[in-house]
Formats: sequence, C-alpha cells, structure tokens
Amino acid sequence: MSFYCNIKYELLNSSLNLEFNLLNNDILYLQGANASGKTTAFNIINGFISPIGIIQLNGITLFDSSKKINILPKNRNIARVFQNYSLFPNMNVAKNLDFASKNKQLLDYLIEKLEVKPLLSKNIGALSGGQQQKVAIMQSLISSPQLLLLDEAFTNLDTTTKRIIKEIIKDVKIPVILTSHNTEDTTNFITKTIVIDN
Amino acid sequence: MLDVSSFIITFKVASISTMILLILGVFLAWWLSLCESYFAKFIEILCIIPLLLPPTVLGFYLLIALNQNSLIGGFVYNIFGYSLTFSQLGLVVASIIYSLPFMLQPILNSFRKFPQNLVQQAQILGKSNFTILLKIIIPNSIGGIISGCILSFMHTVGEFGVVLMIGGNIPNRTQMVSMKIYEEVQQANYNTAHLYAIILISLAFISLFLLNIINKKRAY
Repeated sequence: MSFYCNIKYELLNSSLNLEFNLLNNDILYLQGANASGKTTAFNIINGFISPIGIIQLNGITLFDSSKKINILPKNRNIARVFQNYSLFPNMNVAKNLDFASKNKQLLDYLIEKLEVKPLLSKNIGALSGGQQQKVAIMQSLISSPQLLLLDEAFTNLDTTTKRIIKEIIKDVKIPVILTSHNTEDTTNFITKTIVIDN
Repeated sequence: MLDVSSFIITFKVASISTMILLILGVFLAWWLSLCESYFAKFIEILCIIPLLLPPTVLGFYLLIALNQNSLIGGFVYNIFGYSLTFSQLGLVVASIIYSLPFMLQPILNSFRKFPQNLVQQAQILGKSNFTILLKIIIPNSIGGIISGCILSFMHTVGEFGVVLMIGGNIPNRTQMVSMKIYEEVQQANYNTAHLYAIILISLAFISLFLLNIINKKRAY
C-alpha cells in the first residue's frame, strides 16, 4: 500500500500546498490551526474538491489536473471519519454497519472487541457522542479502505477505547492520515507529521 | 342530496395524479438539487410557474395543447384511442401539471437542506447516486415527501378553473366536487352546497393539522 499526494489549492486567504508519500504502516499527523485547510485537504483526497496536482493510491492515479484524471469519490476506496461522525439517522447501528460492510469477519471482530453488541439495535440519535464516534470508526474500517482519513476522530472517546482503536488501526496496515487538536491522540501512534502553516 | 360520483371522480383523479406526481417530484427534485446549470434553473421555474398563473390561463393553454387536433392530444388519441380533453385522463394530466409545484417545492426544499456530509459519506462508502437517493435521502426526507403528497392531493381536490376548462363539467364523467358546488350555488341549492363545502373544509383542516405534525417532527 502506498499513497502519494502533491497538491496545491487556493483557500480564501491563503494557499494549501501539500506534498507527501505514505507507505503501509504510515500514520500521518496533519497538524494545523482551525481553518488552516485540514478538512479541505481531506475533501481533496476524497475527491470532493479539485486542486492542482497529483494524487496516487497504490500506483493508480486518482487525480491528475494536467491529464484531467479525476476518479469519482465512490471509486477511490478512501474511507473517512468525519468530525461530526456522519452516521445515517434513518438506520440503527446494525444497519449503519451493514450498509458499509465489505468485511464481515472484521465487523464481527470489531463488534466483539469494542463491545458494541448492546448498541446494535439502538437508533443513532440515542447514542452518546463517544458511541457515535466508535460506530463511525467501525463503519470506515469495515468498508475495506486502502487509505483511512481520521478527522478529529478520537475527540469523544475514552482512554481505553482510544487505545483499542489505535491498536486495531495499526493492525489493519493501511496508510492513515489523522487530524487532531489533542496531542495525546498522536502519542505512540503517528509515524509522520506535517504542519500546515499558512 | 349529495352526489357521490363527483366525490369518486375527485378522489380518483387526486389519488392517481398524486401517485404520478410523487415519482415525478422525487426524481425531478433530486435532479434539480444536484444540478446548478442555467438549464436546471429554467426547468425549475417552468415547474413552478403554475403557482403564479390564473387557473383559467393554464386551463386555456392546456385545452389548446391537449385537444384532439393538437400534436400531443392527437398523438394520444390516434395511438391509444383516449381523448385528453373532457375526460378523466385529461383531468389527471392537467392535475399533474397544475399541482406539480405543490409536490416539487417541499421535496426540493428537503433535498436542498439535506446534510451534504451524509451524501459524501455514502459516496465514500462506494454507493451509487441511485442507492444514496433510495436508502439515504428519501428515508431522511420523508417529512418533505409526505408534505408534498398532502399539498398536491388537496390542491387537486380543490382546483376549479383548470378542471372546468379541461373537463368541461360533465356530470358522472368529469364533474369534480368543486364544480358540483358551483352548480348547486347556480341552482340556489345552498344547503347542498354547504354540505359539499363543509366536507372540503374538513378535509383541508385535517390536512393542515397533519402537515403541522409532520413539520414539527421532520428533520429535513
């Protein structure tokens, strides 16, 4: 697994320039102040915004502005945990997980490991922030992505859950890009850091 | 004495046109919510125009467009053998056109207010636009969709000008309740006219009560 990103995008008052290369077990910490362009970078990598530059995943070009290549978000195989979790309110927890699942074995393992069984029949609105975050992370992992984007994904998790999820993410062995305002989230977890300084 | 046939015709036309409008409204609203082109804006205005036109203007042009000597009316008559004027089929076609804004607007508002991050998450999970519409957008916009159904159904039930022009007020064939009230008033049968009117007022009251409940509960 490898991920290469070399992009330039004009923000409102500044310019976002990013160039990095990630391998299998790399966990990149994208550090920056509010409105520095971290979520914009994720939107670019997911394919919702077109920058200038190149994005490649496992040798396949997902985006190339000069060659006018732009693979649709649904075909990029890049999972993401949104800041506000983005779970589907019309489905209960089990259906939210089923909707995303491409890996039944991993789903069963995560349900067991993260003690989610009692939550399966609950509606999303009945979950706490931490529980929603846990389900959102599970949803991303079971979609069998080749790259995982975590946008403030650990904010509401307790220390034990955070530790277990970090172990699971490391075991999945795919490149990960992480944003967080809490440096505790990155301790003993990240392998690279990029500071976005406008 | 109440004429049941006018109620049967009214509810038959309103039910069929609402069912067709539901499918048309959902897909049209979905397309309009995705497109930002001038063409889409033009289509949106075209769909909403019946809201601002006097019903007689709309009825007059529908009569011209749907009669057996016109392109559309002639085509339907020659191929299927059905007349689009002075028939229940014509009433349904006309109802679809004049009630379209009442179905389209609430659904379009729901779709436009729908959180983009949920659509993006479904795309990221590899789902097609059609799956996203069916499994995410429609179930979460159900309040707007039911509102559209109630409004377009009630608007069809209460319409007078267009159905008079297209239907011609033929008893037992195209005479709807609104026209029956007009007829009873013309004949000075005020008590019967009251009866018809009270039934329509009750229906409108129940519909508005339901809309109120739905709007309180709806998320998008």
